[in-house]
Amino acid sequence: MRTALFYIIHFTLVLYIHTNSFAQTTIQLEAIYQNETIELGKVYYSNDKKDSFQIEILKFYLSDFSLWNDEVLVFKSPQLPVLIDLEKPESKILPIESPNRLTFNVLKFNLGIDSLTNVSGAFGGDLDPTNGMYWTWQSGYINFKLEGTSSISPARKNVFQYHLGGYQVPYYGLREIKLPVSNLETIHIILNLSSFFEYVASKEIYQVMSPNQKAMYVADEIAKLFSVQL
Amino acid sequence: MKQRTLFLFSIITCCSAFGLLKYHDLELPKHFPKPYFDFEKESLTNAKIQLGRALFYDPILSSDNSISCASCHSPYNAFAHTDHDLSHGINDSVGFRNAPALFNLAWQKSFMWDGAFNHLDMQALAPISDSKEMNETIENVVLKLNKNPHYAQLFYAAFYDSIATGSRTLKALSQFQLTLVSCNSKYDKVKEGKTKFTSQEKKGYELFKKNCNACHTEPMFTNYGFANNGLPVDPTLNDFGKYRLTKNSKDSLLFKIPTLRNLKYTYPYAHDGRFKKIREMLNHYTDGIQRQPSLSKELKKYIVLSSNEKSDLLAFLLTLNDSTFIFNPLNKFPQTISSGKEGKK
Repeated sequence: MRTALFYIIHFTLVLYIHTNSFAQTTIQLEAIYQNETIELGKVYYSNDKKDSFQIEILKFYLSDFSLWNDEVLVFKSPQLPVLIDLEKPESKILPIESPNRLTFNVLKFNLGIDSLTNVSGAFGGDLDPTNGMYWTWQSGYINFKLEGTSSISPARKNVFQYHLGGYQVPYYGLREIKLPVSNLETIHIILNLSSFFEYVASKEIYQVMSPNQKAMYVADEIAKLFSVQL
Repeated sequence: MKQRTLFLFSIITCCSAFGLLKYHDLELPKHFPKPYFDFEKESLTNAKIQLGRALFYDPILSSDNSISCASCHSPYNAFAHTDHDLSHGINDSVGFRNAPALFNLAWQKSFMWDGAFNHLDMQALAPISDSKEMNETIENVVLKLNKNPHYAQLFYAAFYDSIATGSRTLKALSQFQLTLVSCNSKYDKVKEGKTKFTSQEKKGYELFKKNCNACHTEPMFTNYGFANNGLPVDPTLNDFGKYRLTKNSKDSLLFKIPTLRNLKYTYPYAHDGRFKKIREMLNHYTDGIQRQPSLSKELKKYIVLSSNEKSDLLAFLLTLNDSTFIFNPLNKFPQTISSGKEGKK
């Protein structure tokens, strides 16, 4: 009886310590166009109504989440890269487990997959090559994939395809994203593609599928489109 | 440790997991360098090797179940494709490069003629996806494998989980290919002191060290680098090698330096299989080099060899053939292939 009691107390204590020493910060992602949540297959129009486009695929990797208090690293998440896929709503919710009672005001993460992972062979889960995010003509993950049709694309059937990747300099496609956050349980991250379709997607830049200068430019622009909804 | 054993880790793993299994107890000769592949991180196991072997010989990897890896990488040709200058695949499509021999891959740092793949695991994605080879997707391969009860067993044995995934499929293929080690040629026996070169082979060896060893470095007979060896571009292919990937003029016409082991079984030679005989290749080095800006610095100085010297060199090169590798039953078609069809030969 005393042993049983001991175990009950022990268990409660362990549970108490556990629940109190870890906090869950949940990141919720949303891709928007002109204040509207993007739906795959829906037709969107440019501001002047001249151009229209549809998004069929939007998938990208986020990796190396870390929390900072100003310039001081407070927590580095051990989580493996995660694949955000608009087709899978559950992929837009990312729980990040961190020690409790941290004070932080900056969230940093990478858009894409680092070089080391890119040269380390096959991985499962979100990194499995069956996710369609690994090139088959040469080594390398596709960090960001955006496909659809657009009236401005001169390609056959007006398609546009952005497969951004590259793991070797000078064409290293990974981009660091740094966002101010407050100590909240849920952080809403917005990927706002309005300016992308307004200024980046064009008659010249509608198909980017290898690591090159164009891809680096588009990756720079995409990285600027992340923000936190306060 | 008396002898360095490449697959020590695998044997330990197998023994501890299954009690008595001993699959690949190949002992590497002392003159072999340490493999580049990290076996401590990724140890070989018998079950994974057998799964990889089944996959390697199974046309289930192609979209119409007609082409297996072995269709172009036959064990009898040191896993190259004798007689075919260019690889060919589904619906008799012809590719644009020669199917390379597959062995001693654990020492190789990058794969394909232009080094497009940085890891053996991922390399298989190229032939699986190429519209002229297997014309399939890894997604669909995994779907097909998951419908197949035989593979459920093999995956379970290898990964303690019957579900096929992309990474497991690729890793198993990789494991089988890593067991393809050729190290039992006459050259190797001479190095081990078990036999001697004939006087002609010895002369050839000296010529080899003087003229060839800088790139085809012994004992692997390649330095695993890339070079422009002065082959004129075939206008029907317009293949500029590594330049295709980097778009850097320095990489124009750079191709992987292939090993010279097992040449007897791997003809025709060069990235586009343009040479049917080794002597033609030698003649290229003495008389055929085209001096483009990216020509390998080792070839800037002319190679001069008399006809007799070429014969001596040839005699030496023939000591690099390893018939025990060609006839090793462990490398061959496994007894049961789940899809019931043998791939096109």
